[in-house]
Amino acid sequence: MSKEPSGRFRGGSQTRRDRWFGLDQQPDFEAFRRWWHRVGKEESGGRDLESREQALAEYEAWIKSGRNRVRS
Amino acid sequence: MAVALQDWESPGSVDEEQMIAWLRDVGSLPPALTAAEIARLLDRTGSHRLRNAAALALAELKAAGAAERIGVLLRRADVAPQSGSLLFALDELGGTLSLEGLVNILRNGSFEARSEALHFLDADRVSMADPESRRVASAELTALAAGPDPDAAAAAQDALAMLPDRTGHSGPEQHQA
Repeated sequence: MSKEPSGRFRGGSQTRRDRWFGLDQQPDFEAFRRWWHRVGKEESGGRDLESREQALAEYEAWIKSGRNRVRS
Repeated sequence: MAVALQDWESPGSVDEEQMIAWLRDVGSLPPALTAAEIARLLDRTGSHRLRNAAALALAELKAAGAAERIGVLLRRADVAPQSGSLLFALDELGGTLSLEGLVNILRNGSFEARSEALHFLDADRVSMADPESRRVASAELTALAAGPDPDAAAAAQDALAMLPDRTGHSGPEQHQA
């Protein structure tokens, strides 16, 4: 297991990788996460993601929309 | 533009959408709200949308005491179901999650909030409190791991797998005996 600059650990059990939406393995996961909390959630009604399927759908929509980024 | 506190403390007196717009634009000059006003809103609002926007605004401002205020909220069962962005804001502020908050989120939180909370544990940013509190939390997580909610149980099992060296807990498999 290696620690990423963001503080997240890569690797670990399959269960844990799945819990992180299965998305934290993506190189742009941090950009998506930041966009989701600062922009995407409000645009989607303001509620938390309730499932892995919903998380994947939001991620794919973000990809299709051009990976909008929010400044750090 | 200053906003009188009573404007948002009286239900319906200020449009929620307008307040959220102000909070999202907190970096503008001059700001519509001061950090103290936003902190007060964070503490008092019953709206999860306003609470999220306030926490994110305080994180953007790097406001003193914001991590502690968010930490208090994360111990509340009624806040846990919509706490993903509070945890993100706490992460942005470099704060730590209390053990009590972790258990609360894993028990009552959303998929998103549980993921964010487990990140704190993964990154060794959960404050471990005193031995008795750790023992209680470990027992609560063990019960949650064997409980009827499969999502909460899976999250608790993940948490227990990361806790052994910090709580005296010896691993989830030994709790099945």
